[in-house]
Amino acid sequence: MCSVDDRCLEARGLSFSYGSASFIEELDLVLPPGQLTAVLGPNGSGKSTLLKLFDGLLEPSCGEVRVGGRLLKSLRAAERAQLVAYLPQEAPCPSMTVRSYVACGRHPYTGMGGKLDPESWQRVDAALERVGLEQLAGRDMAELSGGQRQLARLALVIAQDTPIVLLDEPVTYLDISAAHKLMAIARSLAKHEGKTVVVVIHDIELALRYAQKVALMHKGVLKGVFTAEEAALSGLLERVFSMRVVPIPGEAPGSYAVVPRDDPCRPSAFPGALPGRH
Amino acid sequence: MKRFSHIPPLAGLAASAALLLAAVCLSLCTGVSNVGLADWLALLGGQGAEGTSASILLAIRLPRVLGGVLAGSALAVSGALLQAALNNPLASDNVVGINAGAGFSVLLCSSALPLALQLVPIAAFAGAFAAAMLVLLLAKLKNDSRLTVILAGVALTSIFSAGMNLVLIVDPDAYVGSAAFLIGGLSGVTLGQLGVPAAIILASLAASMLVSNSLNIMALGDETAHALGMNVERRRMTVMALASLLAAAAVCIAGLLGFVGLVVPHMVRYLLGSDNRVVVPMSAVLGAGIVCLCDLVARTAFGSYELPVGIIMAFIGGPYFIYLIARKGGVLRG
Repeated sequence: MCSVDDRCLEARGLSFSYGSASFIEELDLVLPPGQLTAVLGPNGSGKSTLLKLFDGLLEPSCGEVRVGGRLLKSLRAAERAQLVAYLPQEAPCPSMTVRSYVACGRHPYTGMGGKLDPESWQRVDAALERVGLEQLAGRDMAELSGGQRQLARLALVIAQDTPIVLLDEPVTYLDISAAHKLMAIARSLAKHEGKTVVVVIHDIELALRYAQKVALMHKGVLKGVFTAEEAALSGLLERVFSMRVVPIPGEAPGSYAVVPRDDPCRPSAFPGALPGRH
Repeated sequence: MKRFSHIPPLAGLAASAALLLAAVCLSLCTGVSNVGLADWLALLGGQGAEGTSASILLAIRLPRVLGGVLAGSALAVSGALLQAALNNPLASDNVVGINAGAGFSVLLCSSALPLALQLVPIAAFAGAFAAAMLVLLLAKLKNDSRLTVILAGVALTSIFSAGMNLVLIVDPDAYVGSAAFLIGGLSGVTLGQLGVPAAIILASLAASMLVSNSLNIMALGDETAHALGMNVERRRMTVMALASLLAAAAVCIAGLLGFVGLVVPHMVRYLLGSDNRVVVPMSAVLGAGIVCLCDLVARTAFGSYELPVGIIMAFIGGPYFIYLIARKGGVLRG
């Protein structure tokens, strides 16, 4: 059952508000292992807030998050970090070598001195190889390009070796090649290693191509979890993004590109606009 | 600035330890009086323990050198901790107002409770920690802006300086040697005065080494550090408390000695890279050596005039502070 598998992530009745503003409302979601789920939605729909709730960075106002059936907030910090890895949207670029940076991913498994055992170093080197940065392991992080830096951040997450991986807008500043490479690695983590991978993303085409499931959010409300085909063909994308689009089947089975129609923002195009939060 | 270095940390540590040893030996053997190495050798050989030379060596130079070593290492490590905890290369105990907070508390305690000398280190820590928490709070209110931290430090330093001047106007005898205290100096330090601050500094330096790896994790940003299993707020408070303890103990020895905590960690990073497991211990060694050397210059380079070492440090640190602000790319962004 999902609840006894460490890789299963569940949210029940999850809400988050700050003052009078509500960011997530009554969200129920079960994310099974071995699946890459893309969270799609317009700006301000609560996607990143959801990931922060999943990682325990934010405390829910109501409801709960469970990892493998255990309440997230009941876990000790190191225990949580051995189960859930999180790549934030933005992070400082410290002055250290790429290998040292990726080695920080082993922090949940080290003592106070931070000394890594040989097995940890193997994982660090394997993570570097996985993202293709092994040749740059001795470079300073500051000397990397934006795309290489993002791959190094992903390598840190891979080195953390957790059953659940949360990636918040990992491809935002990447060119098309680096973005596809990163998404292919994310999908491989789910497909070949059985991890539960959740990616918040704005690129609909990448989401529909690489994710097995797409969670659509709109103004803090989860509108449902769909296959790429359902999301592309049901008209939900148009309603969630308030924009007229045409889904075009891609080369890969079940993949779709989404192209805006002429005059995509004409209001009459989406008379059934989705209700917002109260 | 060079982002990382190819100098092996052990080689750097050995070179810094050699510099410190040379500075200590030179300081112990050099002064305006004609007392030097031969007198030390005689003293160590059991001769002349009662003479004037012995008094100069044991009652003046030795405490002064030990005070410089302790204050230098404490201030340098305090600066390294603050720069890491606040993610701000301009942060140091004198820039963010921690020294001034400690100084104000020391003067207030000395004036209000002149007989309770044992309370001075506690008062220093209370003032330093209060200043550190105020800076942290102001930084939080402005989303950890680097500029806010510096401006808050300027404001706090002004307020605490006004408080110190007020205490000294109301009670001019509150602190013996108050002029040197306000600038930072090692003149008149006694062995008896070093005991409690030395214990605090040694314990805090050991604790700083223990938390140095977590400073590397904090450098990845709060969200990443949290995701890696760190309780970031608690750890930041621990680091700020350690930095306050070190600065407070240094203030008890050398007064408001500035810029050591700013300059030394930058020198270490330039030479050996940014790994805080190296930066913290190296700052301790290099800070001790530099303060010792600067004090030697302050008391021997101007003939019969002796300057407080704080003046020398300000002449070095002030321009460096301006360089950090003005250099290409700047450090106040973010």
